[in-house]
Amino acid sequence: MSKSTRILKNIVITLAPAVIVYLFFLLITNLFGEPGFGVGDNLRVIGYNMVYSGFIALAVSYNLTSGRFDFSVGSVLILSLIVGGNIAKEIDVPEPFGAVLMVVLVVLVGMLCGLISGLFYILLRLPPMVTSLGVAMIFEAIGFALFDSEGLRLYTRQDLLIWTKPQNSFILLALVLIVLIYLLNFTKFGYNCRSLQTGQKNAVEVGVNEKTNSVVCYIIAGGLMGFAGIMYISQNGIIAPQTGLSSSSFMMNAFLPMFIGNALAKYSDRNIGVIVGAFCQACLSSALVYLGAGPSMQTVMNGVAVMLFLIYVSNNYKFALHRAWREKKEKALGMTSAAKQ
Amino acid sequence: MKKFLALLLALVMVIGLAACGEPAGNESQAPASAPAGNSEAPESGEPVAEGPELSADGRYPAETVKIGFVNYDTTAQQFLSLQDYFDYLDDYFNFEIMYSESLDSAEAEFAFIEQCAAAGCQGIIGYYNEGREESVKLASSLGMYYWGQGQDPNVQEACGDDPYYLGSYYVGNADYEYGKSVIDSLVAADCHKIIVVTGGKDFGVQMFIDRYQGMMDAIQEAQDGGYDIEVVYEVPGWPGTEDFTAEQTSALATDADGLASALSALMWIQPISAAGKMNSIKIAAVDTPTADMVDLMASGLFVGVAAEIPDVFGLGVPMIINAVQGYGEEQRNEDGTAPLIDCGFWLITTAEEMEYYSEIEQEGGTWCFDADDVRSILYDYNPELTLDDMSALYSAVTMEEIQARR
Repeated sequence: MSKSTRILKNIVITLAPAVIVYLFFLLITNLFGEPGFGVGDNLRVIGYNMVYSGFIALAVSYNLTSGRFDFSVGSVLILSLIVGGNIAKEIDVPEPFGAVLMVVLVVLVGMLCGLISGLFYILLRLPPMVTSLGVAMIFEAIGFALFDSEGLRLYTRQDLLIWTKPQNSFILLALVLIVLIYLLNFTKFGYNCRSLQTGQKNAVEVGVNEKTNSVVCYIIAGGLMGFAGIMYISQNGIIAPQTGLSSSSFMMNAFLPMFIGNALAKYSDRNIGVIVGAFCQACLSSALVYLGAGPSMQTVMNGVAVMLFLIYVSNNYKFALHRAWREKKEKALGMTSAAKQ
Repeated sequence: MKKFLALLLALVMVIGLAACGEPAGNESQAPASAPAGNSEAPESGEPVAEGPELSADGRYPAETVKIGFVNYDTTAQQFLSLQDYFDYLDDYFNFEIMYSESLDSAEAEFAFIEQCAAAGCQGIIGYYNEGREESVKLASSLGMYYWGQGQDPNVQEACGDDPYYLGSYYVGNADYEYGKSVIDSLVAADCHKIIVVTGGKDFGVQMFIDRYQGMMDAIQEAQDGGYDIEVVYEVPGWPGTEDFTAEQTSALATDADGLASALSALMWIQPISAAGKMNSIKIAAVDTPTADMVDLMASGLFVGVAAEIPDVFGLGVPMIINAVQGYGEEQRNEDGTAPLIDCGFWLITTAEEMEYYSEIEQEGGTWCFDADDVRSILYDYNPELTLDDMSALYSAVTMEEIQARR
């Protein structure tokens, strides 16, 4: 297979899930007499959900793919938004620089939170899940204690809430993707990251610094949660502090896109795969709303989608084995018939 | 490094514990109690001419009454207001509140009640009540008074005769009434096509089911009266999920001119603005009055807010103090059962009302029921007190009625 054919094939395989899912639900909704899915306002909300959940899934993927389950991502979103957003609110900057300044501040606070999470992880040497639970509680408590426990209220500041407009959110996503693709594929950090994912012991023995790599992953995840926070506040205009680990519910949007992203990683890039996964999930959510499914049914369907995908991912090697076995058998049969002749 | 971190952690904990203590010299700053009808308190240690025995710092009663507070969400706006209210009352009355964390199950509630007993609490305020009558029985078995759960007939039936059950406030079926009021506000604002935001109704959360039912009955009543009104979309759940965002967008794509929300509707302002419908949709919601909402009501976007009054839960404090001071029998119904004290709620329809209510219900505010009001329902200050007096006070909650008491 030539290089160009292989690249074309990989592009098609990477984009295929998004196209298939979109067309599938377009067909289903029209068959059920509910036209309007996937166009106009509905397409805008699919785009928003793709970007919002995509950022969260990307954030979770940078640690979970290395075996670090990070419960604190939701609390990072809330804290970075409360701190960065309230500071941006007080600074008088002409439009649209106020909105840009808010992104910068929120993402910087998110990265700082990520740095703290990473340092806790490498210094305490406890299982990451345990560490992240403690960190989540600390971040939640700080978010609750600041600004009179009011969180962030921006619904009267339309000048700051420009990021749900498709053109703005896609620019934001594209810029982030460019940076992440470069980091993961063309830097020492990216090579180390992938070597640690495939075999941590071997990677460490050949000189990869696992601690530094982990901290950088946490910082990236923190920054990405800052971007997710920007999308959240731009849609809702208000965020309240949360306690008692309730912030962990934010990461529930991450799993299906992340699993799809991992499955597509071998054909292109994990970051792109995650965004394709986020698009599929957004189509599923919107289609279920269009079909009138209640919240319970939506939860069940999302769970079923994640489970079916995991079953496929865990077993798809069997298809390859079967194909190899069939090829081998055909070859053997061919040799036998040739020998008979 | 580990030792250093352990030391650092220990130091942080010590500082944290120290920060929880009373500030030095606080005793001399606390206002002393005063006879009923007078908020000006005598200086600490100054002899009081009349009235009950006071503590050394001049608060009533002489001995501190410890009260456990069962909570479900430490971040809720109403709870934060209530905390400020208790801080205010603490300047005049000698009680101490032991707050729970955000509890989410009957088991956690029972565990907290047991902790309260071990900590020497004499009463429990059931702000959250998943354990229902079992919570009351548990508190009673541990020798603590229980106040709350007045809306639940099972509690009255199972524990009404228990001397440790002190009853509660009563707004009828409060949540049902809030739901009805929200729709009434939209009808008054000439809205006909309504988006209904149902919160946890589809998840089986009772208060949302009641609010929803109130809304539906109000719509039916309006229709029976010849008013043209219909529900064009129902939005379940809370923000933060993809489903909620998709539902919001679909709802705003309809030709709705009114939005009735069973929970705070602040998260709808930005989507309504983004959809370019700020001038075509009016909002009524169950919410807590805040300063932010004054402008929203003045702009005409919000036309009604049905609000539970946070201070109403403060009624638990004087009722528990009365019981601890030996007036338990006096504050019971004639048949010996625990009383339900009639209370009002706010239906705020003007910016002026919103400004007044939000101002009194904040730190430094004068509150709906101030120290004098509370003193008037303490038997040691008002021996002629009846349950009707309590109901009369707690039902008089309009702006005019509150101003008349000041």
